[in-house]
Amino acid sequence: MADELELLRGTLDMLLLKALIWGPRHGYAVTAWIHETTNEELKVDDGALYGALHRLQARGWIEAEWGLSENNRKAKYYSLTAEGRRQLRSQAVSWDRYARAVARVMGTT
Amino acid sequence: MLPDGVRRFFRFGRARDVEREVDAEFAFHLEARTEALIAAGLSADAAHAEALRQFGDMGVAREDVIRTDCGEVANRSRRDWLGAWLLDTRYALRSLARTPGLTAAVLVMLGLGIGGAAAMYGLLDRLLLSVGPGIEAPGELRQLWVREHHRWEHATVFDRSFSVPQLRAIERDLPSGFPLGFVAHWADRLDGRTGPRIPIALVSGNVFEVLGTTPAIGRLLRSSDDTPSSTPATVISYALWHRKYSGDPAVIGQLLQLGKARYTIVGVAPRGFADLHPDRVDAWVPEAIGGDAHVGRGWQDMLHGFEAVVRMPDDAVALEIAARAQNAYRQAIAPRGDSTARAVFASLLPYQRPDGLGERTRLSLVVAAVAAILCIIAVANATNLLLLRATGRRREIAIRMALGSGRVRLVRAVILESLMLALGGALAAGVVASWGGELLRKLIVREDWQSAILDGRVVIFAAILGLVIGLVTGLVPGLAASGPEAIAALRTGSRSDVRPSRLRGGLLVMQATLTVLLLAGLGLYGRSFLRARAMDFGVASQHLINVNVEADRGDSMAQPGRLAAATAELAERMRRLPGVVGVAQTSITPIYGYGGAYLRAEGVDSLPMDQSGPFVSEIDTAFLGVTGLTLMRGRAFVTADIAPLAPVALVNEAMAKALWPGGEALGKCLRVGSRGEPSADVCRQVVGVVSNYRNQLDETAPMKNYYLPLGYRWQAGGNSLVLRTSGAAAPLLPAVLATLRERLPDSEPDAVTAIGEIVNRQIDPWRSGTTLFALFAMLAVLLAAGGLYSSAAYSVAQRAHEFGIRVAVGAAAKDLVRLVLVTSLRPIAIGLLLGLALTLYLVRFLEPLLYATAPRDPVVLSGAALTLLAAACVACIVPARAAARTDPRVALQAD
Repeated sequence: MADELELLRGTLDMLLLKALIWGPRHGYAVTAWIHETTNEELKVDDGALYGALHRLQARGWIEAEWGLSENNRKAKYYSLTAEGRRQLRSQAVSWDRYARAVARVMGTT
Repeated sequence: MLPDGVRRFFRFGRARDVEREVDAEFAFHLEARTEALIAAGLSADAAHAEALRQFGDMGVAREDVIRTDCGEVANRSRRDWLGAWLLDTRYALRSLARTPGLTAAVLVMLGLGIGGAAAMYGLLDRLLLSVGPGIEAPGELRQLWVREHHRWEHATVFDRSFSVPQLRAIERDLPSGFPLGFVAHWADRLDGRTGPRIPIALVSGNVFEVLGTTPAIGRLLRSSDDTPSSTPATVISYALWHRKYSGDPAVIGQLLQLGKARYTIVGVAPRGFADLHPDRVDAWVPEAIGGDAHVGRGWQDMLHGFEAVVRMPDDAVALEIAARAQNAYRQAIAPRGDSTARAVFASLLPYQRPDGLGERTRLSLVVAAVAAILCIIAVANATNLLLLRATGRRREIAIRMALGSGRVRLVRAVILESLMLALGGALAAGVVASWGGELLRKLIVREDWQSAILDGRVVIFAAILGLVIGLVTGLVPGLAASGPEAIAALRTGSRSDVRPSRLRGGLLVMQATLTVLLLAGLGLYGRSFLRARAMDFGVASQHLINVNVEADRGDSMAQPGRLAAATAELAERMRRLPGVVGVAQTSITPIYGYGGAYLRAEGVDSLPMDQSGPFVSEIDTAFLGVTGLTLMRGRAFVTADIAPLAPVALVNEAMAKALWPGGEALGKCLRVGSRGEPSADVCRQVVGVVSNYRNQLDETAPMKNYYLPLGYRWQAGGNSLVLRTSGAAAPLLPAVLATLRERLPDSEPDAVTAIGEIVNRQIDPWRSGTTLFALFAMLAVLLAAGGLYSSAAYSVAQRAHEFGIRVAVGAAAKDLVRLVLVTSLRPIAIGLLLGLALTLYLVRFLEPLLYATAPRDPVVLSGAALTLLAAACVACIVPARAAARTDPRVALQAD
């Protein structure tokens, strides 16, 4: 795992929020979505993802509720709160700006 | 604060829940991932191992998540708890707003009841219970009283007013270390002649020291200020400091003109300080300086208005001090040693006056009792309404309990509702207290006080009382409604409680009792007022104006002949004023004043002078006609009679009867003046007898008056004009004053007085008593009627089912009306009888305050009873008609 990208916590948070934008998902679905959309490039432990999810919940950006999964098992579903949506919007904007800046710097060398 | 163990237990319990949830979540994740891997082609074991690998360090993640969640759970539960309270608060407000009439009624009742009681308490506190602010250890202060026979009033009375020479003599004989401080209240113009007349006090230099007062700024007066040669110094009140100087500290050292004197302001008294009485005082000046300046030459013997206090830390010395003071006082007033005066040092607290309670205090005690009654009625009504409301909500509460609401939550909702009502009630009480306090002071005391009736203590008292009463009245019914038996309400439906509650009935009885009492009080006071107003004073008092024609000493106008000429000239000018139908010249106007002279009468051995005369007045030929006195026998004065030593006199009937009982007054000789005066030798023959007039409303004996032609005193400067007006006197006062000032520009506004005003002021106690009783009785009737209405309306609604059955089996509308009226009016009738009995007993306390009215006046009592009955019937009509309209189909289908 040493060669994996060391993720800034804010980036991970943004990804997690983004994962919930289409509606409530349980923890497994969130991790699966992140692995899928990053083509496994983003090597993050599932455990770490859970830690991040719970921190987001503590911050009030997402909320959790027990529900039934697709195959009728009890699962904890996470969904965005209004505050979470606001955070996602503002973080996406600043991330975009940051990424463009980095790309410019890298492009000039 | 919860015990530590309990809190740990709760935290522990929460942590266990969190762990369980985290484990469940992780377990679900591993299962889901394993299944996905199996679906991707791995073996079950390999899939499980891969899932665990992908998860990373499970232990670390679990710790991390649990720690996060525990903090989060704590936060959230706090949020939930607050949220629930907020929700309940909103719910409580909504449910109060659903019944706006009832909520408003409860608020108004609590406000009136408690606010009124608080205002009354504030007034009584000042009148009876406390010494004003700024006085150190008032319990140690003793005021000097003297009990002696009063020749003027033919009675032994307590007196606390002395002259400075008397007090100086007493102080000289007191043991050292017991300085006597004294103060007399006076008034003079601020900023000289033009300014308003403000209340001031003449004080001994040591009085502030005796009272232990600390100044707001600067210093207070000291003994060295109180010598005739001291630099004139004054201490102003906190109120004047703010009114005139906007509280500027630079006021110290400024000059203050009071009347003719100019003082240096040395300090400001503490806020609200008003020396011995609550009455307003704006400036304190040393008597040695202020006496001459404000009262005039000879004030030492003239001004007997000084009250004296001494500080006695313990009562051991009190007897000795009183004995010495008594001796000194007897010496001072009667050097021959025939005085039987007794000196007493009494507490400064007003209710410990040795001479008993004054009129206004007694009136305020009556009003306090009334306010207490009203408070009880109002609170009883609020309770009644809340009881009704709680009973009405039984079903709702039962449903909520059945749906799983915890009792704690329900009780909390009830507490919140009561709390809202209580807060509102406390607020309303504060408003009523501050507004009502001023009203009460104006109506009862009628004097300006140094500070408002309400201080912080009273407001806090009102607010706390409001909270407590609101909580209790809300809680008791609320808890009853949510009790374990509440579920029963569901089973039996809303028809459960057709019996009128005993508590509610009792409240109605009490209200009716108290309302009758108040109505009877109103009747008695109203009757006294009407009788007093109708009292014939024997002169046309409402159409008379007195004009003092005076000149300052030293003024050229003060020369006898010139003032008399000016008076005659003014009489001419006044006569031409529109609205004036007659003008007379006199030395003393009836009712406005009285004066005596040494008098010897033919055939009468001794003529002691007391409060009923004989009094003398010099008059012109117009006087009798203008004032409205009638000539009973003999003749009136004619123009030829008007001369300084004219040998004629008139007496009134009372005097004729007193001096020459059974005989004829006409032709008898009066000699007026001290022996040696030229007038004392003139035999003034009584040529006529005129009617009496009444000087005071509650005169025991008619006043003895005699009249001489203008001249004897006339030249000395005490001249007056009496004006007779065609209509009301008051509107003419400004024109009369203006006319007076054309000739005598320095005349003060009070030189012109409507005699009707003086008479009205005497009627005032009954007028304000009537106003107060009317106010309170009206409120009581409204409250009682409202209470009865709500109770009747509620019981009709409750009994709709029963009425439906009655109609179905053939009851007519009028039967239902009768049924409702009988059940509703029963408590009123009981209360009415109780109230009448109570009134018959209690009027003995009101009796001394009545005027020419029998305390058990049957007209008044039956009037009170009828008024209450009428109000009760009106209150019952609407519910009774609702009952009469009962439709059996609707009533029986409901529920």
